[in-house]
Amino acid sequence: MADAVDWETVRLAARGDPAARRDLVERTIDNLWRLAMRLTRRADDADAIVQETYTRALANLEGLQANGRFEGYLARIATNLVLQRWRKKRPTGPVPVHLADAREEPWQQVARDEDDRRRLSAVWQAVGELDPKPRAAVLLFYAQGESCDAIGRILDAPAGTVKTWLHRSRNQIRRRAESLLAEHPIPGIASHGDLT
Amino acid sequence: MSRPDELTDPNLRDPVLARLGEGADPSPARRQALVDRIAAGGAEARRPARRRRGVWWIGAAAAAAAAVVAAVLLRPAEPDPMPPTALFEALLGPLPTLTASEPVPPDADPPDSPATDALFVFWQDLKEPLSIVAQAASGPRAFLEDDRLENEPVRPAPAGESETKEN
Repeated sequence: MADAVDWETVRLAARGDPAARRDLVERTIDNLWRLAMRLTRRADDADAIVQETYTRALANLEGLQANGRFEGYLARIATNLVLQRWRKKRPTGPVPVHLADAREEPWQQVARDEDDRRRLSAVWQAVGELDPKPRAAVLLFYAQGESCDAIGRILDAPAGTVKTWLHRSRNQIRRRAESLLAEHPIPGIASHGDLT
Repeated sequence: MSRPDELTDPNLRDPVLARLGEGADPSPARRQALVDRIAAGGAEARRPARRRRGVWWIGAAAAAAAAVVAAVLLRPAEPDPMPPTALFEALLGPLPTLTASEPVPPDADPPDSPATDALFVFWQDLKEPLSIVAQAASGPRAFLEDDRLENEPVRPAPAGESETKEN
Protein backbone atom coordinates (compact mmCIF):
# COMPACT_ATOMS: atom_id res chain seq x y z
CA MET A 1 0.00 0.00 0.00
CA ALA A 2 1.30 3.45 -0.90
CA ASP A 3 2.37 5.88 1.80
CA ALA A 4 -0.15 8.41 2.99
CA VAL A 5 -0.06 11.74 1.20
CA ASP A 6 1.56 14.57 3.17
CA TRP A 7 0.02 18.01 3.06
CA GLU A 8 3.22 19.58 1.74
CA THR A 9 2.72 17.61 -1.47
CA VAL A 10 -0.88 18.81 -1.59
CA ARG A 11 0.30 22.41 -1.16
CA LEU A 12 2.76 22.08 -4.03
CA ALA A 13 0.11 20.47 -6.22
CA ALA A 14 -2.26 23.31 -5.44
CA ARG A 15 0.35 25.74 -6.83
CA GLY A 16 0.33 23.80 -10.10
CA ASP A 17 3.54 21.75 -9.65
CA PRO A 18 3.10 18.90 -12.20
CA ALA A 19 5.45 16.55 -10.32
CA ALA A 20 3.49 17.01 -7.12
CA ARG A 21 0.21 16.43 -8.95
CA ARG A 22 1.49 13.22 -10.47
CA ASP A 23 2.82 12.11 -7.08
CA LEU A 24 -0.61 12.70 -5.54
CA VAL A 25 -2.24 10.54 -8.17
CA GLU A 26 0.37 7.78 -8.00
CA ARG A 27 0.06 7.47 -4.25
CA THR A 28 -3.71 7.43 -4.04
CA ILE A 29 -4.99 5.87 -7.22
CA ASP A 30 -4.82 2.21 -6.14
CA ASN A 31 -6.94 2.66 -3.04
CA LEU A 32 -9.32 5.01 -4.82
CA TRP A 33 -9.79 2.61 -7.73
CA ARG A 34 -10.53 -0.26 -5.31
CA LEU A 35 -13.15 1.86 -3.59
CA ALA A 36 -14.74 2.81 -6.91
CA MET A 37 -14.66 -0.80 -8.08
CA ARG A 38 -16.26 -2.07 -4.86
CA LEU A 39 -19.01 0.52 -5.12
CA THR A 40 -19.71 0.21 -8.84
CA ARG A 41 -18.57 -3.42 -9.49
CA ARG A 42 -17.64 -2.49 -13.06
CA ALA A 43 -14.09 -1.67 -14.15
CA ASP A 44 -15.19 0.90 -16.71
CA ASP A 45 -17.45 2.62 -14.19
CA ALA A 46 -14.60 2.61 -11.69
CA ASP A 47 -12.34 4.29 -14.26
CA ALA A 48 -14.94 6.99 -14.87
CA ILE A 49 -15.46 7.60 -11.14
CA VAL A 50 -11.71 7.80 -10.48
CA GLN A 51 -11.09 10.22 -13.31
CA GLU A 52 -13.98 12.48 -12.31
CA THR A 53 -12.83 12.36 -8.68
CA TYR A 54 -9.33 13.56 -9.56
CA THR A 55 -10.76 16.19 -11.86
CA ARG A 56 -12.79 17.68 -9.04
CA ALA A 57 -10.16 17.20 -6.35
CA LEU A 58 -7.29 18.76 -8.28
CA ALA A 59 -9.46 21.68 -9.37
CA ASN A 60 -10.23 22.59 -5.76
CA LEU A 61 -6.89 22.03 -4.03
CA GLU A 62 -6.38 25.73 -3.32
CA GLY A 63 -9.25 25.97 -0.85
CA LEU A 64 -8.57 22.62 0.83
CA GLN A 65 -8.00 22.71 4.60
CA ALA A 66 -4.98 20.73 5.81
CA ASN A 67 -6.75 18.48 8.29
CA GLY A 68 -7.51 14.80 8.23
CA ARG A 69 -6.34 12.52 5.45
CA PHE A 70 -6.17 13.52 1.82
CA GLU A 71 -7.37 10.01 0.96
CA GLY A 72 -10.53 10.67 2.94
CA TYR A 73 -11.11 13.78 0.83
CA LEU A 74 -10.86 11.69 -2.33
CA ALA A 75 -13.07 8.94 -0.88
CA ARG A 76 -15.74 11.49 -0.04
CA ILE A 77 -15.80 12.86 -3.58
CA ALA A 78 -15.85 9.40 -5.15
CA THR A 79 -18.58 8.07 -2.83
CA ASN A 80 -20.79 11.08 -3.49
CA LEU A 81 -20.37 10.58 -7.24
CA VAL A 82 -21.45 6.94 -6.86
CA LEU A 83 -24.38 7.91 -4.63
CA GLN A 84 -25.57 10.28 -7.34
CA ARG A 85 -25.46 7.41 -9.84
CA TRP A 86 -27.35 5.08 -7.52
CA ARG A 87 -30.07 7.63 -6.88
CA LYS A 88 -30.51 8.21 -10.60
CA LYS A 89 -30.65 4.50 -11.41
CA ARG A 90 -32.65 2.72 -8.74
CA PRO A 91 -33.23 -0.09 -8.15
CA THR A 92 -30.08 -1.81 -9.24
CA GLY A 93 -30.51 -4.67 -11.60
CA PRO A 94 -30.65 -8.13 -10.11
CA VAL A 95 -27.43 -10.07 -10.06
CA PRO A 96 -27.85 -13.56 -11.51
CA VAL A 97 -27.21 -16.11 -8.82
CA HIS A 98 -25.84 -18.64 -11.26
CA LEU A 99 -23.55 -16.03 -12.77
CA ALA A 100 -24.08 -17.21 -16.32
CA ASP A 101 -23.95 -13.62 -17.58
CA ALA A 102 -21.88 -12.00 -14.89
CA ARG A 103 -18.37 -12.44 -16.19
CA GLU A 104 -17.48 -8.88 -15.21
CA GLU A 105 -18.42 -9.29 -11.56
CA PRO A 106 -15.35 -9.06 -9.32
CA TRP A 107 -16.04 -12.24 -7.34
CA GLN A 108 -15.69 -14.28 -10.49
CA GLN A 109 -11.95 -14.00 -9.97
CA VAL A 110 -11.96 -14.94 -6.30
CA ALA A 111 -14.65 -17.62 -5.96
CA ARG A 112 -13.18 -20.95 -5.02
CA ASP A 113 -15.90 -23.17 -6.47
CA GLU A 114 -19.49 -23.06 -7.70
CA ASP A 115 -21.01 -22.97 -4.20
CA ASP A 116 -18.71 -20.16 -3.21
CA ARG A 117 -19.62 -18.33 -6.36
CA ARG A 118 -23.33 -18.68 -5.65
CA ARG A 119 -22.89 -17.53 -2.07
CA LEU A 120 -20.94 -14.42 -3.08
CA SER A 121 -23.44 -13.67 -5.82
CA ALA A 122 -26.36 -13.83 -3.36
CA VAL A 123 -24.56 -11.57 -0.88
CA TRP A 124 -23.77 -9.02 -3.59
CA GLN A 125 -27.36 -9.05 -4.76
CA ALA A 126 -28.58 -8.44 -1.21
CA VAL A 127 -26.08 -5.59 -0.83
CA GLY A 128 -27.27 -4.09 -4.10
CA GLU A 129 -30.83 -3.92 -2.81
CA LEU A 130 -29.92 -1.72 0.18
CA ASP A 131 -30.65 2.00 0.20
CA PRO A 132 -27.77 4.09 -1.18
CA LYS A 133 -26.18 5.37 2.04
CA PRO A 134 -26.43 2.10 4.04
CA ARG A 135 -25.08 0.27 0.99
CA ALA A 136 -22.12 2.64 0.81
CA ALA A 137 -21.57 2.22 4.56
CA VAL A 138 -21.49 -1.59 4.26
CA LEU A 139 -19.02 -1.49 1.38
CA LEU A 140 -16.81 1.13 3.03
CA PHE A 141 -16.79 -0.85 6.28
CA TYR A 142 -16.47 -4.43 5.11
CA ALA A 143 -14.85 -4.10 1.69
CA GLN A 144 -12.73 -1.00 2.18
CA GLY A 145 -11.96 -1.49 5.87
CA GLU A 146 -12.88 2.05 6.94
CA SER A 147 -13.84 2.86 10.54
CA CYS A 148 -17.29 4.09 11.53
CA ASP A 149 -15.89 7.58 12.19
CA ALA A 150 -14.26 7.73 8.77
CA ILE A 151 -17.46 6.49 7.11
CA GLY A 152 -19.41 9.15 8.98
CA ARG A 153 -17.11 11.84 7.57
CA ILE A 154 -17.38 10.43 4.05
CA LEU A 155 -21.18 10.10 4.13
CA ASP A 156 -21.73 13.23 6.22
CA ALA A 157 -23.49 11.32 9.01
CA PRO A 158 -22.85 10.76 12.74
CA ALA A 159 -20.92 7.63 13.69
CA GLY A 160 -23.96 6.36 15.60
CA THR A 161 -26.04 6.52 12.45
CA VAL A 162 -23.34 4.59 10.60
CA LYS A 163 -23.44 1.85 13.27
CA THR A 164 -27.22 1.64 12.96
CA TRP A 165 -26.94 1.35 9.18
CA LEU A 166 -24.38 -1.44 9.52
CA HIS A 167 -26.43 -3.35 12.08
CA ARG A 168 -29.66 -3.21 10.11
CA SER A 169 -27.97 -3.81 6.79
CA ARG A 170 -26.16 -6.90 7.97
CA ASN A 171 -29.39 -8.49 9.16
CA GLN A 172 -31.11 -7.49 5.93
CA ILE A 173 -28.30 -8.95 3.84
CA ARG A 174 -28.38 -12.20 5.78
CA ARG A 175 -32.15 -12.65 5.42
CA ARG A 176 -32.14 -11.76 1.75
CA ALA A 177 -29.16 -13.94 0.90
CA GLU A 178 -30.68 -16.87 2.77
CA SER A 179 -33.92 -16.49 0.87
CA LEU A 180 -31.97 -16.45 -2.40
CA LEU A 181 -30.15 -19.59 -1.42
CA ALA A 182 -33.00 -21.23 0.49
CA GLU A 183 -31.84 -24.70 -0.35
CA HIS A 184 -28.25 -23.87 0.52
CA PRO A 185 -28.09 -21.64 3.62
CA ILE A 186 -25.09 -19.47 4.16
CA PRO A 187 -23.51 -20.53 7.46
CA GLY A 188 -20.72 -17.98 7.34
CA ILE A 189 -22.72 -14.81 8.00
CA ALA A 190 -22.78 -14.09 11.71
CA SER A 191 -26.10 -13.36 13.36
CA HIS A 192 -24.93 -11.59 16.53
CA GLY A 193 -26.55 -8.23 17.05
CA ASP A 194 -24.02 -6.31 19.08
CA LEU A 195 -23.06 -3.78 16.39
CA THR A 196 -24.71 -0.96 18.22
CA MET B 1 -16.02 -2.39 29.63
CA SER B 2 -17.75 -3.84 26.55
CA ARG B 3 -16.29 -6.85 24.88
CA PRO B 4 -14.58 -6.27 21.54
CA ASP B 5 -16.71 -6.60 18.45
CA GLU B 6 -16.24 -6.07 14.76
CA LEU B 7 -16.67 -2.32 15.13
CA THR B 8 -13.67 -2.00 17.39
CA ASP B 9 -11.52 -4.87 16.10
CA PRO B 10 -11.15 -5.28 12.33
CA ASN B 11 -10.14 -8.90 12.87
CA LEU B 12 -13.63 -9.67 14.11
CA ARG B 13 -15.42 -8.43 11.04
CA ASP B 14 -17.84 -10.78 9.40
CA PRO B 15 -15.74 -13.08 7.21
CA VAL B 16 -18.38 -13.46 4.48
CA LEU B 17 -19.09 -9.75 4.22
CA ALA B 18 -15.37 -9.01 4.39
CA ARG B 19 -15.02 -10.92 1.14
CA LEU B 20 -16.92 -8.10 -0.59
CA GLY B 21 -13.53 -6.43 -0.91
CA GLU B 22 -11.92 -9.22 -2.88
CA GLY B 23 -11.18 -9.02 -6.55
CA ALA B 24 -11.04 -5.25 -6.86
CA ASP B 25 -7.47 -4.53 -7.92
CA PRO B 26 -6.78 -2.75 -11.19
CA SER B 27 -4.59 -4.45 -13.73
CA PRO B 28 -1.20 -2.73 -14.25
CA ALA B 29 -2.11 -1.72 -17.79
CA ARG B 30 -5.43 -0.22 -16.73
CA ARG B 31 -3.81 1.60 -13.84
CA GLN B 32 -1.07 3.10 -16.02
CA ALA B 33 -3.55 4.21 -18.68
CA LEU B 34 -5.67 5.90 -16.03
CA VAL B 35 -2.71 7.68 -14.45
CA ASP B 36 -1.58 8.95 -17.84
CA ARG B 37 -5.07 10.20 -18.65
CA ILE B 38 -5.33 12.08 -15.39
CA ALA B 39 -1.80 13.46 -15.62
CA ALA B 40 -2.44 14.59 -19.20
CA GLY B 41 -4.37 17.48 -17.77
CA GLY B 42 -7.88 16.22 -17.36
CA ALA B 43 -8.48 18.65 -14.53
CA GLU B 44 -7.03 21.64 -16.34
CA ALA B 45 -8.92 20.79 -19.51
CA ARG B 46 -12.21 20.74 -17.65
CA ARG B 47 -11.91 24.09 -15.92
CA PRO B 48 -12.74 26.28 -18.94
CA ALA B 49 -15.52 23.90 -19.91
CA ARG B 50 -17.12 24.42 -16.52
CA ARG B 51 -16.92 28.18 -16.94
CA ARG B 52 -18.42 27.94 -20.41
CA ARG B 53 -21.18 25.77 -19.08
CA GLY B 54 -22.04 28.44 -16.51
CA VAL B 55 -22.18 31.14 -19.18
CA TRP B 56 -24.39 28.94 -21.31
CA TRP B 57 -26.88 28.52 -18.47
CA ILE B 58 -26.98 32.26 -17.81
CA GLY B 59 -27.53 33.00 -21.50
CA ALA B 60 -30.29 30.41 -21.78
CA ALA B 61 -32.07 31.78 -18.71
CA ALA B 62 -31.87 35.35 -20.06
CA ALA B 63 -33.20 34.28 -23.47
CA ALA B 64 -36.10 32.43 -21.87
CA ALA B 65 -37.01 35.44 -19.74
CA ALA B 66 -36.88 37.74 -22.80
CA ALA B 67 -39.12 35.37 -24.75
CA VAL B 68 -41.71 35.37 -21.95
CA VAL B 69 -41.72 39.19 -21.74
CA ALA B 70 -42.06 39.51 -25.54
CA ALA B 71 -44.92 37.03 -25.60
CA VAL B 72 -46.76 39.01 -22.92
CA LEU B 73 -46.22 42.38 -24.59
CA LEU B 74 -46.97 41.32 -28.17
CA ARG B 75 -50.01 39.18 -27.58
CA PRO B 76 -53.09 40.32 -29.62
CA ALA B 77 -55.68 42.40 -27.79
CA GLU B 78 -58.83 40.54 -26.85
CA PRO B 79 -61.95 41.66 -28.86
CA ASP B 80 -64.55 43.75 -27.05
CA PRO B 81 -67.70 41.92 -26.07
CA MET B 82 -70.49 42.27 -28.67
CA PRO B 83 -73.12 44.90 -27.72
CA PRO B 84 -76.72 43.67 -27.35
CA THR B 85 -77.95 45.40 -30.50
CA ALA B 86 -75.23 43.88 -32.62
CA LEU B 87 -75.97 40.50 -31.15
CA PHE B 88 -79.68 40.95 -31.92
CA GLU B 89 -78.91 41.99 -35.50
CA ALA B 90 -76.56 39.11 -35.92
CA LEU B 91 -79.36 36.74 -34.95
CA LEU B 92 -82.35 38.37 -36.67
CA GLY B 93 -80.88 40.53 -39.41
CA PRO B 94 -80.85 44.34 -39.68
CA LEU B 95 -83.43 46.01 -37.53
CA PRO B 96 -85.52 49.08 -38.45
CA THR B 97 -84.66 52.14 -36.45
CA LEU B 98 -86.77 55.08 -35.36
CA THR B 99 -86.06 58.44 -36.95
CA ALA B 100 -87.11 61.89 -35.82
CA SER B 101 -89.61 62.25 -38.72
CA GLU B 102 -91.61 59.19 -37.79
CA PRO B 103 -94.58 59.92 -35.53
CA VAL B 104 -94.61 58.33 -32.17
CA PRO B 105 -98.01 57.14 -30.96
CA PRO B 106 -99.14 59.16 -27.99
CA ASP B 107 -100.05 56.10 -25.99
CA ALA B 108 -96.83 54.32 -26.67
CA ASP B 109 -94.51 53.71 -23.81
CA PRO B 110 -91.05 55.18 -24.22
CA PRO B 111 -88.65 52.51 -25.48
CA ASP B 112 -86.10 51.27 -23.03
CA SER B 113 -83.44 50.15 -25.39
CA PRO B 114 -82.75 49.73 -29.10
CA ALA B 115 -83.97 46.16 -28.90
CA THR B 116 -87.30 47.02 -27.26
CA ASP B 117 -87.55 49.98 -29.63
CA ALA B 118 -87.34 47.67 -32.59
CA LEU B 119 -89.90 45.33 -31.08
CA PHE B 120 -92.25 48.27 -30.51
CA VAL B 121 -92.07 49.34 -34.16
CA PHE B 122 -92.59 45.77 -35.23
CA TRP B 123 -95.71 45.60 -33.05
CA GLN B 124 -97.07 48.87 -34.44
CA ASP B 125 -96.64 47.57 -37.98
CA LEU B 126 -98.44 44.40 -37.06
CA LYS B 127 -101.41 45.93 -35.23
CA GLU B 128 -103.22 47.22 -38.32
CA PRO B 129 -103.19 43.96 -40.29
CA LEU B 130 -104.35 42.17 -37.18
CA SER B 131 -107.31 44.51 -36.78
CA ILE B 132 -108.34 43.91 -40.39
CA VAL B 133 -108.23 40.21 -39.83
CA ALA B 134 -110.28 40.62 -36.69
CA GLN B 135 -112.95 42.59 -38.53
CA ALA B 136 -113.11 40.00 -41.27
CA ALA B 137 -113.58 37.33 -38.72
CA SER B 138 -116.38 39.19 -37.00
CA GLY B 139 -118.68 39.03 -40.14
CA PRO B 140 -119.05 35.31 -40.38
CA ARG B 141 -119.41 35.20 -36.66
CA ALA B 142 -122.41 37.63 -36.78
CA PHE B 143 -123.89 35.62 -39.57
CA LEU B 144 -123.58 32.48 -37.53
CA GLU B 145 -125.19 34.19 -34.59
CA ASP B 146 -128.11 35.29 -36.78
CA ASP B 147 -128.45 31.85 -38.20
CA ARG B 148 -128.54 30.47 -34.74
CA LEU B 149 -131.43 32.87 -33.90
CA GLU B 150 -133.41 31.71 -36.94
CA ASN B 151 -133.05 28.12 -35.96
CA GLU B 152 -134.44 28.65 -32.52
CA PRO B 153 -137.52 26.43 -31.79
CA VAL B 154 -140.89 27.99 -32.59
CA ARG B 155 -142.73 29.15 -29.53
CA PRO B 156 -146.19 27.47 -28.98
CA ALA B 157 -149.28 29.44 -30.04
CA PRO B 158 -151.42 31.20 -27.37
CA ALA B 159 -154.39 29.31 -25.95
CA GLY B 160 -157.58 29.45 -28.12
CA GLU B 161 -155.66 29.90 -31.31
CA SER B 162 -155.11 27.02 -33.69
CA GLU B 163 -154.05 26.41 -37.24
CA THR B 164 -157.52 25.16 -38.05
CA LYS B 165 -159.01 28.43 -36.85
CA GLU B 166 -156.58 30.29 -38.95
CA ASN B 167 -157.32 28.11 -41.89
